[in-house]
Amino acid sequence: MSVILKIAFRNLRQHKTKTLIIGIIISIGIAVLVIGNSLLDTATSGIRQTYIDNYTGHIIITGRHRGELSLFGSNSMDEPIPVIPEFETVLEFVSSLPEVEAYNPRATHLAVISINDKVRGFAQLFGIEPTLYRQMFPDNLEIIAGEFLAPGEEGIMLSEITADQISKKLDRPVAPGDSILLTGMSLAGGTRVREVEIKAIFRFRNPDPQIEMVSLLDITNLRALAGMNVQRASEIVLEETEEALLGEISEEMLFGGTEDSLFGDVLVDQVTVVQQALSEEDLLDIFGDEPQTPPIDADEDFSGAWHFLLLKLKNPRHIGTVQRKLNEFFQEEGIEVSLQGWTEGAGVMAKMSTGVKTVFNIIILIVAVVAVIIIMNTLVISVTERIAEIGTMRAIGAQKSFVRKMITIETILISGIFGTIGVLFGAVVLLILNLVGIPATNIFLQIIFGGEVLRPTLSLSAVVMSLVTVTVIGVVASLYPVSVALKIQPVKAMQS
Amino acid sequence: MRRVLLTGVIVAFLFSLTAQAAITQAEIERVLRNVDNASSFMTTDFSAEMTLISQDPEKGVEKHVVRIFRRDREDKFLLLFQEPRALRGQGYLLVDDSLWFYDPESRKFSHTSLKQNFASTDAKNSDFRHSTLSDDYRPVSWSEGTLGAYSVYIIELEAIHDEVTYPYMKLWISKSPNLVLKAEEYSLSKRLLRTSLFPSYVKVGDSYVPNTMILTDELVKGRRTQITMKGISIDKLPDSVFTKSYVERVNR
Repeated sequence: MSVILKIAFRNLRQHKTKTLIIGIIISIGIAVLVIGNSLLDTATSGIRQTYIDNYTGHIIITGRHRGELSLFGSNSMDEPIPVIPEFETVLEFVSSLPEVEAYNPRATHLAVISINDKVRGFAQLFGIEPTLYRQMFPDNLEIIAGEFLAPGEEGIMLSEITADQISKKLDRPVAPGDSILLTGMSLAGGTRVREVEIKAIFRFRNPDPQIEMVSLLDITNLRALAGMNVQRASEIVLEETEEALLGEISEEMLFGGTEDSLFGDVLVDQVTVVQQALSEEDLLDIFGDEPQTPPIDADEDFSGAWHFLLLKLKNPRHIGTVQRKLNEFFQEEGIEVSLQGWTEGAGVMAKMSTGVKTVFNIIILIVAVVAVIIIMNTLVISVTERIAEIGTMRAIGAQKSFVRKMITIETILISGIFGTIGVLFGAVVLLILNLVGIPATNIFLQIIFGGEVLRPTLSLSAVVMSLVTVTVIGVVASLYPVSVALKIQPVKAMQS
Repeated sequence: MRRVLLTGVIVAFLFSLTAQAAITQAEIERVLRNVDNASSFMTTDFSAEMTLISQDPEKGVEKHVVRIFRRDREDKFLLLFQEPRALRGQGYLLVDDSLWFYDPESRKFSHTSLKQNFASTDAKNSDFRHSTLSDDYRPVSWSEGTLGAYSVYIIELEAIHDEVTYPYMKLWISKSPNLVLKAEEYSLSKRLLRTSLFPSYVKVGDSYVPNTMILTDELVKGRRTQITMKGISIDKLPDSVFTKSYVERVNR
C-alpha cells in the first residue's frame, strides 16, 4: 500500500500542471457547495429558531378545525377560529409536564382602527396575558415608548409600523395615553367596537413583514372584538312562510302569478297599516323589560377562552415525547384539540420561506452539478492522457488491480488536499460574511433570511457532504477511463 | 340549413333593435324615477319590523330581527337589532351622509360603510336606504320581456359614480306599477355577485314596500337571505329617533 501511495504522490508531483488544474476546480467546487449549503442551513435554522424562540414555541395546541390555522388566523373566512375546549384542564396538564419550560395562551383577531371618527388603519391583534407572555418571550420585543401592559390591565401595545401608519394619516404622532377605537367583526358576535388606550409602542427584535404588523391587546377586549364572549345562539324558531322559502325555490314558484304560486296571483297586496302614533317614550321602550345588553351567563365562564396555547420545551428533542403524552391525555379525556408545529403557526411566512428556499436550493444544485461535471471531465482527460504510461506499467508487470488502486488513490489525494483547501476558502468567505452580515434588501430576501440581516455560519454537515460528494464523484469518474486504458493491449497502449 | 340559421339571427337582431328602439331612453329613465318614487316615503316616515333569515351550507340557518325607522326626505335611517340576543341593541344610524354603527356593550359609535354586509346576512347596509336608482345609474340597454306571469322591462344599468354598492345592475321591472321584481348585481369586472328577488309587495299609502326579499349570494353556492316585513307604519316618528342620543338612551 505504501508503494502505491508513494507512486501516487510521485505521479501527482510529476503532473504538476494537471494536478493544479484539477485541484483548483475541486477547490472552487467544494467552496461553492460549502458556502451555498451553509447559507441555506443558516437561513433555514434562522427562521425556524426565530419563530420558535420569539413567536410560536415548539408546540401549538388549538381547537379542532378543518382548514389551515396559523397564529394570524384561519384561511377560511367562513370558519371562525375555534376556542380550545376545557382550557383549564388542558392548561393544568400542560403545566404538569416536566419537559415544558413555558406556556403562553394566545388569541388572534383583525380590527379596524379609528381615531376622531375616521378609519386610520388596520391591525392584526394578538390577545395576550402579559405575565405569561413575558415569561415565554422575555426578550422578543423592544418598547419604544410607554410601558408593557400590566397584568389585568386593559389597553393596546401598538407595533411601530401601525403607529407610523396612523400618525401619517393623523398628521401628528400617536403616543401612549392616546385612545383609539377598534372595530372587529365576527360571525358569533357581529360587529363590536372597543375604545382602548395606547399603553406602549414597540417593535419586535426579529421582525419580518408578517410579524411586524402585529399589535398586542389585552385579552378581555380581544375576546369582545372576536365575539369569543358570545354565547351559542339559542334554537331558531321559524314561521311557516319562512320555512317555505328555505328549500329550493324557482322564479316560476315566486312569479308564477297563479294561486299555486308561493305568493298567489297578486303581486301587490293591500296592507293594513299599523295606526300607532309612536311617542318618544314608546320608542324608548321598544326592547320591553328585557335587558338590552345581554349579560354573559354567569354559569358559563369565558375567562378561559383562548385560540391557542403555545408550549416552549426545555429540550427540542422532546417534541415527539410531549406530543405523544398530550395526544394520549386528550384522547383519554375526550378533549377535541389539534397539535401543530411552528410551520403551521407561522402561516404564510413559513410557506413562502419554504417555497423560495426550494428555488434557491435548485439553483445551488445546478451550480453543484456543473462543478461536478467539470471535475469529472478533467479527470477523464487526465487518465486518458496517461494511457501510454499505464500501458508501459502493464508491460513491465503491473497488475490491473495495481493500476486501478493507484489511480483511485491519486484521485482521493487530490480530492482530499484540494477539497480541504476549498473548505478553508469557503470558511474564510463565510467568516467575512458573518462579520459583515448580508442585508436583506427586499421582502423576498427577508423571507429567505428570516430577518433583516443574514449572518451565515460554517455548516459541518455542508463540509462533510461536499467532501464526500467530490471524493465519490472523483473515484467514480476515474473508473471509466481506467477501465478503457486497461482494456487496451500494453503494446498498443505504449505505441499510443 | 345555414341560410335559415343566418336569416334567423338577422331577424332576431333586427327584432331586438326594434324592441329597444320602440322604448326611448327617456321612457326608461321615467320608469327608473317611478321605481324610486314608488318605493320611497317622501311625505311620511316609515317604520317596520324586519326578519332576516340567512341560510348557509356551512353555518346553517341564522335569524335576525331588526326594527327599521326611515325618514327618506332627509335621507336618514335607523336599524336596531332585537334578535339574536347577542346583538340586541346594536344599531346602524344613517345621518348627514354618515353611517354609524353602535355597540351597546361599549356604548361606542364607529363609522362604517353603506357598501358593507349587514351583520352576517347577504343584505348590504345600502339595501335599507330609500331607492335612488335614477340618481345613481344610467340605463345602457333595455328590452321588454316577462318574468313568470309578469310583463317587465329588462334594463341594464351602469353606475355614474363610485359611491354605489354595485357598479352594474340588471333589473326586471314590472310594467304596472313600476316595481323591481328581480335584480342582478355585478362587480366592476361584471361578475355576478348577488341576485335579489322581490316576489311580493304591499301598498302603504302611496308607496310600495317589498314585504319579501330573497337575496342570493352568487359567489357561495347555497347562501341566501330572505327578508320579510311586518308591523309596517307610516306614522310620523319623533325627530329624536334619528339621533345618536336616542340610540344610546334606548339601550339604557
